[in-house]
Amino acid sequence: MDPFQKSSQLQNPQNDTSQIQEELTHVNREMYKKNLELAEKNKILSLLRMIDKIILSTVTDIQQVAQQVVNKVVDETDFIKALTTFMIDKNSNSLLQLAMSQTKEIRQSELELNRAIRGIKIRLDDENNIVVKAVSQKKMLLTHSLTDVFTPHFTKEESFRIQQIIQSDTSYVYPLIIRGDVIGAMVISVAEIEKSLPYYKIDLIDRIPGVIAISIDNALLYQSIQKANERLKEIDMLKDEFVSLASHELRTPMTVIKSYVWMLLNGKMGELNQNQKIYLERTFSSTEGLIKLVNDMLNISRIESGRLTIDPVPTDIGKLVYEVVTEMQTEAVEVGIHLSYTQPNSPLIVKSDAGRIKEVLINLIGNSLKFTPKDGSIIATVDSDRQGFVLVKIKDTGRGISEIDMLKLFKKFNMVGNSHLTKERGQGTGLGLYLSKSLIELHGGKIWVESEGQNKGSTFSFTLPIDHNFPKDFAEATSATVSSDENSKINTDLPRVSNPRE
Amino acid sequence: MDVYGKVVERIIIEQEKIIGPIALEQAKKVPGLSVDLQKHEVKIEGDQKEILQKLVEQYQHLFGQASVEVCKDAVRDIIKQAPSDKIPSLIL
Repeated sequence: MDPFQKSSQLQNPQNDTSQIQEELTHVNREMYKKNLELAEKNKILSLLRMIDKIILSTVTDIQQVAQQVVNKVVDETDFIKALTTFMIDKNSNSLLQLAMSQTKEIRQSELELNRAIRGIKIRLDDENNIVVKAVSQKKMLLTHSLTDVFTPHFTKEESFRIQQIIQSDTSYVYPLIIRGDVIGAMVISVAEIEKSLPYYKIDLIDRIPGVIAISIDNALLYQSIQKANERLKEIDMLKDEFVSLASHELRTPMTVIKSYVWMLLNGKMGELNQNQKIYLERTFSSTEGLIKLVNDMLNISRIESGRLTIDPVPTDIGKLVYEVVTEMQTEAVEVGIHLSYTQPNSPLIVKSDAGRIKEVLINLIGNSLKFTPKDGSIIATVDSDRQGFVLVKIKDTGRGISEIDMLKLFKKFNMVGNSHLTKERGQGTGLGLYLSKSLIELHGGKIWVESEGQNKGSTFSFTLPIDHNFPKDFAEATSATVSSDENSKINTDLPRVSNPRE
Repeated sequence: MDVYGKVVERIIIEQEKIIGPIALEQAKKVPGLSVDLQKHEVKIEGDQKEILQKLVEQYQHLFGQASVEVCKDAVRDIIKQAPSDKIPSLIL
């Protein structure tokens, strides 16, 4: 501005006031426009949030999701008059109507024409139909006549009447594209002509097909995952049945082999030379390993299919641990390991299937024997955890376990890093700890391992619920003994606990 | 509430979404119009069509044509219930 002109204006206060007034009016109007934009954008955001909510809801039926979304869009916007979603059906080579906004105008049109608009099907070879064109060209097309959308289902006059009733001037036809493939189409009919639409309304129109495509894709994916999951369950069941059957069939011949090898080893068929003895001993030990593997697999198969049941009876857990420790003493002495047991101050009675808990104890002490070097020690302790459980610990001075190995220790077929170190003491099946965990959990207890790291030993612990109902004075006389195959069953009327997966 | 009352209320509510409490302040400046949005009460004393016209003009004067468009959008559905000659042409 010319400085002279400016000073002359300043000298005229009336002129100055009217200019300020003018500028304020301008500012006011511009701010109003911006506020209006913000208010509209807010509406759009809240609509998109509502659509998100529908997509993320538990509804997984594609038609239901699409119907809810189209209804919401039409209800929440004043300029979108109708919305229709189609899905490609390859079998019939058509576009099937998935959902159409349910407004009173649509119903009125149907009544007036005495024909249904909802549920129409467009053949993909109807090249005059704009929806088909949008699908084949993979791009948005625009029309001012619903005849383009409804041909050949409705006449020009009928289509015009529908357009009049729903008060739509423009229809946007979008292909629904997911990962480059057209899965359907969408028609968005709006009240205004495209040139009069502000950019934020066009932005919303442009977003809707993407959102719908994602919601349909989500629902489709969910359905296919569900189907795949069911199939996997079936296959898993078949696998379990096969493992169970195969294990049964394998166990018998292996037991026979083991028996004959034992007979040979014990000179029942005559004296053996040194080499024959070595080979047969290896055969015997491998057969034993195989039988254990088959037994473990059989047990796991029973647990996983819910067929394994336990018969919990009041059991003196201290005595049970003592007996297992005593049984394994010979093995410990053979490998030069000091195995000891610290008994609780008073008898602790748990409700357990003694045979199964014995399996767990043999497994845990057996593992410690495998991974503890000569001159090491293993201590078994039994105590109450003062929270209604008995705590059994097997602590060794062995190779210890790394933090990473601890995470996978109780998983099926797990052979953690150190398994190879003590090969001479027999290799495990990788199923023992998984089986132990399953059995302890079946008893309502927990099992875990602690180790300060490699070469620092490890402690395996498990808990079992104390049988509070059991009279203490009765405990001494009736506590479980596990020297025979038949576990001591003090109270056979106790409920039979099944695998929770049953 | 009659159609005029509903139209006035709808206009103020829609304007409020954009400019906040100024919408009600400006409405109260229109002679013959008293509004209590919380109680859903709108009183129009005098020529209803003229007062409605003045309300729209009040916003138009301050905020321009954009505010008239907002008024039109706000009442599009309701004004069908009243004869068109009783509605100010500004919002038709």
